[in-house]
Amino acid sequence: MLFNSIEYILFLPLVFLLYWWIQKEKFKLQNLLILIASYVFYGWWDYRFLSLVIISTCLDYFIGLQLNQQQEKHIRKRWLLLSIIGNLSILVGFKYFNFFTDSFIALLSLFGMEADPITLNIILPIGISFYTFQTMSYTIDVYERRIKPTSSWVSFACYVAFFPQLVAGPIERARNLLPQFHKPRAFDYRQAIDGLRQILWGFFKKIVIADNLLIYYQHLYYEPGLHDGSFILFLCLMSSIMIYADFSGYSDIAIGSARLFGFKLQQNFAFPFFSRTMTEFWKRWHKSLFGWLLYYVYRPLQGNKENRSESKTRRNLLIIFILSGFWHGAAWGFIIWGILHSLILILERIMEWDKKIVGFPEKYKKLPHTKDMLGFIYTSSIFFSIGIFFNDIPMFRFIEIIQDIFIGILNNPLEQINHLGMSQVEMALVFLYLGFMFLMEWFNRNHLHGLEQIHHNKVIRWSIYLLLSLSIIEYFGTAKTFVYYQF
Amino acid sequence: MLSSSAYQILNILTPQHRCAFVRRFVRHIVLYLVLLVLVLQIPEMMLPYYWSIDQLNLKMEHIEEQAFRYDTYFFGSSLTHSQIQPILFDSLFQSTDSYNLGVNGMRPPESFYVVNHFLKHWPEQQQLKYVFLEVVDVKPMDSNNQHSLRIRGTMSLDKLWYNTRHYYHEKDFQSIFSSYKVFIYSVFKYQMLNDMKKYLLRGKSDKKENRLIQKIQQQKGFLAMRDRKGVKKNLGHQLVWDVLDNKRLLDELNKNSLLLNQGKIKGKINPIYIQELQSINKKVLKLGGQLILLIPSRLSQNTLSHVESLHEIPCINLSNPSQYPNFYKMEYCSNPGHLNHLGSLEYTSALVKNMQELNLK
Repeated sequence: MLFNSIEYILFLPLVFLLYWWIQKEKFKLQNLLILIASYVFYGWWDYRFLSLVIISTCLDYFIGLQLNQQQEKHIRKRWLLLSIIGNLSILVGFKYFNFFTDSFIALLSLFGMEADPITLNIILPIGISFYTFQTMSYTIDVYERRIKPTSSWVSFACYVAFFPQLVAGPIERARNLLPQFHKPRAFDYRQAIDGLRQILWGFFKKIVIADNLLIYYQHLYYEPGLHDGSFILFLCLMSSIMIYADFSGYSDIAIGSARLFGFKLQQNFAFPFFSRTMTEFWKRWHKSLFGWLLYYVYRPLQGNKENRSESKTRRNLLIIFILSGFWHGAAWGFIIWGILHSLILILERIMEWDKKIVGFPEKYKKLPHTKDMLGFIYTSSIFFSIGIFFNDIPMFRFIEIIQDIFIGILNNPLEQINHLGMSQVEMALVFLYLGFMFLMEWFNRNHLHGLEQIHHNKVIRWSIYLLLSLSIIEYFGTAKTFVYYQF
Repeated sequence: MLSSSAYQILNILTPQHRCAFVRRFVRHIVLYLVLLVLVLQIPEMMLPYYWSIDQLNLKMEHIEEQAFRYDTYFFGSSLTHSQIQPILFDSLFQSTDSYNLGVNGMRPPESFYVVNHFLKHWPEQQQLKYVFLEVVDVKPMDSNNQHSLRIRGTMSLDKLWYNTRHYYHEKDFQSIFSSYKVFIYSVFKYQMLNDMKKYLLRGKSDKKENRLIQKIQQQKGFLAMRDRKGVKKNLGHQLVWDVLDNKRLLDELNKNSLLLNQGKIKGKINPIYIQELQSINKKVLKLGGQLILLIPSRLSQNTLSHVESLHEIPCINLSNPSQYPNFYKMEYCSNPGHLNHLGSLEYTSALVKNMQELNLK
């Protein structure tokens, strides 16, 4: 089920009413309802792939219990390995199998050897990367004795399959989300209202901004030689904003929906375009994934303080960014995307920007400082330039796009905007919405989402809600899938 | 009353408090939705009732430009749009200045919606002589047409009420469900706002450049169906005619129409349909006009039974194959369902002849 569909708009209030109709003291019944709702939510897309979620749940639930019972380190390690291999096998089998076989065949052909292609037509189950990382975090935490395993299968299944964040995150660590299923939830009016505001903001970003900018993203990867270099760069910029609006919009809807049920999910995007360095940017972009990678990969690789060195840190940065790229998709484009970002971060470390620029842009200032502005332009430029590689197209197409950038790079990109087939009025309206989005996010940069603080005047506040709702309804209906569903 | 967070901090949130907060939350949501629905109706108020029906748009814009100068109007589907020539009708009948308001695919209840709104907006100082309304069966509201802008744009409380009663009599609950679904979509302007915006922003100048539109206006709303002879076989598989099959289909239509006209097949009567026609008749009479029901050349099963029970409204039946055999001949047809240009001349002439026979004052 897509968030931006009629089905979800009917599904959410129905589950909400049933959920709070059940007495607070019977929170286990509420958990059961959430589990059923989550499986319906996931099965709406393809019920057959529910089996993968259930297998992953059962595997880690059982291993979690075993890890608790066993005291001997080597046996516990075996159980952990079993969990990791089990989860990664599912992930590799469904997501990376074709990539590995294709790459292997390409490698053989380099040495003049031929192999029969054995690529299978495997459908990628949506959200597989998200829930696999989530279940793995549970077993690792139990192994490390950071948390105790849960004895309730329903609670654990809810943690894995909680519908607001099942298919595209935020990737919650067991330590944060699982205990919330173990205690009664109280309805918090203010949280629920703010949750609704966050959902509204998420819909605005997804339906009004991202869906309208999708055409820029599609044009970027059209046939070579079609656009001037300046226009390709413009497309890159708009595509980056599209990806941001799409994914952060999804996260806002997910977090907002969870808040309606009394759950607190972690913030996934902290207004990354207001970052002054790429180091800061990666602390604000897809926080749940990078938090996961830092916690479960980077830190163990870094080891003790005594053994740390700058070269080791740089190597580890490279590793986590390659992993991040690979997590996003089984294609060389994503891996290059990860490598390039890690190189930028290493460069910033060398120049010590990561130490010089800390903290958020000044909290109480209405307009950003010139220095901050330059920083925003720098991070956005880096992000949208490297963003070219954020696609699973073949390598030679990236080379063609890069070649095209240097042809007509000084031409006015706006002159070619009619290539997109949008009227000038429509285009102007989209840019107006875009400006509004960044303005709201700037004023709310110290809050959870772009609509948290609007205006103390009720009439102005409700007028903004109504205008946002109208703009959403205007573009609603052509339910386009979320970009991050494919990951 | 403390906020819910304050209650939680104090840890005194009882089940009663919780229920009160949920109720308050739901109340606010409902209030917001009501407000939203009201705001959503504003753009529609700025648009004419026919905005979502393309063909009707251009015809109504013309009529409004001409300040409703015509005194006779033909309402109906493509069987009206492409078969009644107002210029010929006026020259033969001699006392009218008519306009063809037929629109492809416009059957009841859409035609009822259009006629009702047309009469509502009729300027009282203008003279209204005749209103011809094509009578055909009401189609079930199936899943194919419920997603069209046209069906959502013409959905109103009146139409919903009509659909509910009509389909209830037919025991067609699927169509009732679909009608309510379309109504909800229409209330929330689902997949409509963007088109409304486009309609409000679009200019009218492009009409002058469009030769087809010019032709329709010159012929007072009439446009003949493309002649069968004009269709070449090499234009694509969709345009290729299977002459034998076509003839067989025409024969079948002919046979069915004959049986219906001879009363050998009886259709079902839906009282709601009858009431609606009576209501339209009252409105036309109030404006000083005369409603005339028109059974087109292709008759559907229940139509005749409906019209037979409406003695007070004059009716012209052009569907009898024994009376109008030409309407069922290949050379007069554009396709199995419609007449060609030659057929439309015949059809209009037959209509005038019937009008003269009716001898209306």
